[in-house]
Amino acid sequence: MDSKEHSAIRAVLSGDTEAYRTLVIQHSPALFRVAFRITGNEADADEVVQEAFLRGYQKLPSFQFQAGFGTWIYRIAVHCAFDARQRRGPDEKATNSEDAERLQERVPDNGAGPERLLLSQEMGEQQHFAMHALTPLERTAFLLRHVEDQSTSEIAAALDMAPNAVKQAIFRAVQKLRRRLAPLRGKT
Amino acid sequence: MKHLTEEEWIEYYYGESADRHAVQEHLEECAECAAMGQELALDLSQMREVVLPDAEPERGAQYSESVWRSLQLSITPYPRAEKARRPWRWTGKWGWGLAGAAVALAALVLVAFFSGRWWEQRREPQMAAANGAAPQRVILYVIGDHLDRSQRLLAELNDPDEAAADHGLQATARDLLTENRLYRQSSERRNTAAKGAAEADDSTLQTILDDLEPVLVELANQPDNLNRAEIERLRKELNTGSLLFEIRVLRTKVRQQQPNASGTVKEGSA
Repeated sequence: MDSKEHSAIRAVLSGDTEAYRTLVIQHSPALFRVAFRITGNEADADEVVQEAFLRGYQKLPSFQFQAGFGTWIYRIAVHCAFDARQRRGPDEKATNSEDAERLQERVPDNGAGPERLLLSQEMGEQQHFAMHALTPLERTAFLLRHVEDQSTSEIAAALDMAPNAVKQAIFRAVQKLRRRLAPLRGKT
Repeated sequence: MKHLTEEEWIEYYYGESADRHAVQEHLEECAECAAMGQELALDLSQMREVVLPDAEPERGAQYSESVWRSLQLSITPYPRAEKARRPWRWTGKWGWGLAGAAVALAALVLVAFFSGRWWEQRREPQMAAANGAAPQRVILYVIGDHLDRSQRLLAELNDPDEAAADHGLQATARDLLTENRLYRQSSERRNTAAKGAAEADDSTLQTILDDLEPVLVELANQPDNLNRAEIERLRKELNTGSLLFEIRVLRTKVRQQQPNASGTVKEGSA
């Protein structure tokens, strides 16, 4: 718990809007990072950061001082980013299953020279296809679990979902990614 | 323990197994599951680069400032203080104190109000008596002067030589007549409204004033410069002896009442 942050929150609640500035300055980069990871889009991430801080300001009277402001606003940002991701709809790359299948068929043969460079590019594209094949929930849950190192219960709280639903989303994401990426490692 | 499923392995990898100790024991015993676990761990360790977007843009202090500038336009300040919105906090420490003080003040006002009412009711008879006594004192003073002057006039009329020498006898009688009429009317009104002990004295005064008026009328209507014979005739016709006696008696009573009643009021000119 950060007593300075708590003091700032109390000041904000007493009518000092300028006190919110210190909180925004401190946590904006972290929020942008997670928002960008979830949305995959810079413009969307910028909007998510703005929306998260605005929602945070409006919900500030309900802030429990036992928790840290960073954790609290982070969860709000995750929720906003997840919403933004869902609003954007399915990814065009993910729907282009024909291209994905084509790439999967071009399994590397561990050859050398120009073919290998081409294969590296294709592997990168394949990884992106694999990622875009995930649903917004699977992608978000997996990102938060695997990259952001959030526990299942923390992710469930941020997304306002049941922990078991989050756990299942993570399982599905891992399974999909492994299947998609297996040919690139010479697996069947 | 059976072989681990992929789900159980993923749970174990992320440190969220329900029974982590049992999984570890199984991995030490089961080479198949251990191999599967190593494979999964390798895949997952390589996925970080896969799931992350290309080249995450950096955001520094300038970015935070720009976020704040944009946000600043959208937020409205919270009310300055709870006190301003709730100036009277009944549940607070001072709130109860103030409430108690208010109740005590209200009780004090009520006590003062009813005490005042009670005091006024107690004093009403005294005030009424005092209010009645004050005019009585004034009347006695004024009437005493009138009776004195009337007594002197009647006494002078009983002495024809002295009366003949007084050339202002008729003028005095006219002045006294005017006063006597006023006093009679006043006495009649007071007798109508009078109650109690004062009624007897007032009726005596009223009788004297009534008897005095025809005498004064006769004297006031006489021509100036009456001689001794004419005065003697009037004295016999008017028979003012008994009237003079009654005036003296009443005047004596009035003199006795004046000091006691008024205290500071001096006795009229005798």
